[in-house]
Amino acid sequence: MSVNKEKSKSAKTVVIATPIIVLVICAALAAIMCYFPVRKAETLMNIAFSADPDHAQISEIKYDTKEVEAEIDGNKIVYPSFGAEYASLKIDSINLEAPVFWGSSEELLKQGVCQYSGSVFIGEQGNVVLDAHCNTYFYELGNVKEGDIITLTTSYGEFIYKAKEQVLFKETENRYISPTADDRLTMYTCYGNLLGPTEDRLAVICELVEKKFYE
Amino acid sequence: MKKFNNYAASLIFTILTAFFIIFTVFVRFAGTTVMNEKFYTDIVKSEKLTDSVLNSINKFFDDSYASSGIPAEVYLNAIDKDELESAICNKIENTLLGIKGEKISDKEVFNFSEVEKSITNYFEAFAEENNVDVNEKYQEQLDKTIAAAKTEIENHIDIFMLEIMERSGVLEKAEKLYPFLTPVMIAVISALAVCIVILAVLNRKSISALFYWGAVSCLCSSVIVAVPCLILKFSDYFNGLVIRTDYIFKSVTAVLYSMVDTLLLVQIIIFAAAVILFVLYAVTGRLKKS
Repeated sequence: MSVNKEKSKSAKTVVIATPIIVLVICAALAAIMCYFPVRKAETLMNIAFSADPDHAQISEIKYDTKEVEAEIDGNKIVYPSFGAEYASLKIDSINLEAPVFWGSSEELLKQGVCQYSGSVFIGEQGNVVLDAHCNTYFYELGNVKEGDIITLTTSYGEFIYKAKEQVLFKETENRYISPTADDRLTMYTCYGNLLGPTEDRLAVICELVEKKFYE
Repeated sequence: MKKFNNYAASLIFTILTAFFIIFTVFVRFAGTTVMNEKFYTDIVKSEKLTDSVLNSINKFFDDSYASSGIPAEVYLNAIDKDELESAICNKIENTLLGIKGEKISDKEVFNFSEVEKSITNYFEAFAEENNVDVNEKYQEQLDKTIAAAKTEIENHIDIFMLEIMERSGVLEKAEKLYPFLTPVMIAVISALAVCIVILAVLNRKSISALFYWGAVSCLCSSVIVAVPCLILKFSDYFNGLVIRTDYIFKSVTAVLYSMVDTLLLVQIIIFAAAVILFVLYAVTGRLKKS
């Protein structure tokens, strides 16, 4: 009787244990078979979509928005982060007063004038390059005449420029936005009396008249 | 000893059966879901992807207004939502038919005549208002604007980045692999049938044992596929894909989650089959005893 009971007990154990054994073996085999294809798929996903295991979507990524203070020739200067509003532009002759953002993007261009991040920071020696759309902030850029005064104000100083010349150039021509040895301000926008996209650009090149760093 | 040999052989063929069930599911999934135009076009409709595409087109032309001087409405008012949706679906259908080597529809993906007319009218009104000479330069600028608008709308119609896939050779690879799908399907189903027959022969003396091994195969195959699917689904894994364009992100993730859901549904059916087989095993076992 007890032998029968023992037999029935061990048969029950086998019946219960078998699915577990099969599952473990299958899972192990599947893991081995899938290891390289999954790794490859993961790499491809990362290349194509930058799949992030932490699920940080691009909108959730926090950029360092700290401004960096530095000193140049004994003057304090503040380096802004991308997208920071760090100056204001004033051109009395065309009644323009607009915020200046560091870096350029479609969103920033909607809000003001953008400074090309390949140019020098306001106050540093070289070419400060600003751009805005021809139908918004730089609508009247073409009316800036030689001798007009342009003021850039930042948290660390005020910089006054005088318009020197107006130039027309093609989008692909980079010489007007390239670094220069002299202190200058270049403001440019799209140019054309027709609708639609254009390759023509209008620039106003200004020379530095005065640099006033705050104490 | 004979009993043990029988058990070991049944165990091995149960493992093989489980794997062939998984292979059958995947090959069938590739044929009926991945390569099925309706699967994608249904998602376009159910997820209202056309609205996302229209929003994106609106945003693009709204952003470019500041440099082009053409309001977004000039383009948007000329785009019919239903026509845009059918263009999106046509693009998907044509691509999949191309992979399958079937005849691609001659239908133009999107009819731009209304957009062309709207831009031309706006240009004409602008020229009249501002005394612009309608000369060669004017015509050139108008053609350029229409061409740019067409390119942008065509790019938006391609919600699954099929053009990029074509350029990178992915579609060409799929086209080469597609003819093997049916032979592979036949081979896998045949192998599955052979495994089941062998299991039946091994357990010919006991029908309940055959139900048992069948249940174990179904259970293991469903769990092995269902667990990764559940992880992908409930960890929102695909939400981590960094796709900057909103409508492409929505389209791609909707398709991936739908694929996971389809696979999960099949696994639930297989799991239910496993439960039924276990019940049959218990019932037939009890009948045998009594």
